[in-house]
Amino acid sequence: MNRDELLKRCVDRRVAHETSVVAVSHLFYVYLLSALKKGQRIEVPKFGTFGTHVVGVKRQRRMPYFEVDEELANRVNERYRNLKTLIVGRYEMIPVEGEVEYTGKEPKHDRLVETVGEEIILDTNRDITLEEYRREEYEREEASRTQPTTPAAAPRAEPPPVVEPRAEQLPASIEATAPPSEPHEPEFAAPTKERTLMPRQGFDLRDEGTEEPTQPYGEPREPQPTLREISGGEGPSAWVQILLGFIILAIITFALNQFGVIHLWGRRTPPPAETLPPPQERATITQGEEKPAEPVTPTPTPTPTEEPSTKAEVKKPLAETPKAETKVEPRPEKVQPPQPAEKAPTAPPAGEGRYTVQVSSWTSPEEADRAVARLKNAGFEAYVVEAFVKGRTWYRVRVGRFATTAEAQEAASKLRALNENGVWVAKVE
Amino acid sequence: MSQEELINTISERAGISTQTVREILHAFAEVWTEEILTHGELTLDNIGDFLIEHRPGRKGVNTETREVFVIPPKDYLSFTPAQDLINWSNKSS
Repeated sequence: MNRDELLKRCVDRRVAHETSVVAVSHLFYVYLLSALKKGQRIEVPKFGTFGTHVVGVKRQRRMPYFEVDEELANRVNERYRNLKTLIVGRYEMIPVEGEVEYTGKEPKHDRLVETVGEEIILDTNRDITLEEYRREEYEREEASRTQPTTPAAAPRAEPPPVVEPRAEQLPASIEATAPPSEPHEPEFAAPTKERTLMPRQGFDLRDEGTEEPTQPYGEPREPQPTLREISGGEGPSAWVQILLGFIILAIITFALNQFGVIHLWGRRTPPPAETLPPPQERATITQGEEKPAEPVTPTPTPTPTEEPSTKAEVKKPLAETPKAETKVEPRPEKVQPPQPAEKAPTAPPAGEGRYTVQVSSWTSPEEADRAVARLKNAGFEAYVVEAFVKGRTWYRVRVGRFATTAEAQEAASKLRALNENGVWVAKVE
Repeated sequence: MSQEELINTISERAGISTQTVREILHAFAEVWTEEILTHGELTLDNIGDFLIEHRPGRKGVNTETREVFVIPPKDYLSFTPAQDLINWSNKSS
């Protein structure tokens, strides 16, 4: 379209005088070209925007472009204006079994999982739109649905014409003959109305079409049983039964925990270990009958008598056996788990001090006994204290009893000199 | 240059009211739009060619969500500048 044709058609519209149209047309072309030459944009109302952008790498130059106005773009795209993107599926990773051989190419482990049910591919040759495709698909389904029902519907349509002439012949008996024909009509008409209003996605109309002919025509439909009737009448509902089951299970678990069959909160320190006397005492009791007098003597003066009693117990087997065996003796005694538990409270070192020095802490009694033996060889009065912390039994290796922290710090510094790490002053509980 | 600036500039230069200039420019746009919609193309002398092209529907994949979707077809307006306009734009003043 050249300028003269444009002017002619604008003048025919009688927008303005011809001279004004010519002047505006001339100035519009002048400003358009000057703006493009300067690299500026120029916007034409209701049409679009002209502009230039730079293209090329080695030899750069300006290339004019045109951005369509939104209103014009919608008018151009009138046919497909209301179409939107439709999600038809999703790719999922296929789990690979075994080792994957490296081929240098990207492995294809993707699998298309269709969410719509059937993949929609637009046929570009036929230039079909998404709406047309949906419409065709819907018509196809309608046709496939009506085909099996039409032979069944033909005998249904026959009875009403037979009834009608009877009603005409006997007008007085219309009310008597009409009721048997009434239940047929709504049963026949209702499903067709529902089918037209039924949403297409998520329903398979073919299955429903095959189910309905199984119902014989003319017979009254049996009422479907409710959920309460299926579950057995007036019994408790399923939720109440599940709740009762949980309550019974909780009661059984609580009873088993009470009787000690199971331990829900973990095992605590074994109580029988405290009641049993240590093997040393058992040995001394069996050897001589002097020991029963010992518990009587320490009672008036508890602190001094405890020392000799423990030392006597330790020294007696030392005196009876050679020195080589004395080092071996503590091992079998300390291997028994209940011994350190009893040894700690019953065999504290001398003094009633409130402070002690903790050297280390172990989860196994053997490790604790080795540490005690090492400290005793170094000349310290080490002992083991059992503690129950957060469900675990810890064996604390401690040295001495001190009245003040200063004395305890002195002992701790001596222990640190022996390369004992983690030595700290603790308060006796 | 926006459309208001263009209208004001032309009205000042030509001595015509802005309303008249706006109506005339709207008439230009209507004539061009009718020509495009009826014939599917428009050729403006020394400016370029406008052509309605069809982009068919296709499948696309969102790489983040791995969803497969169908992009609907679309008719769009393409513009091919005339060689004179390209030369004019690159002409050094």
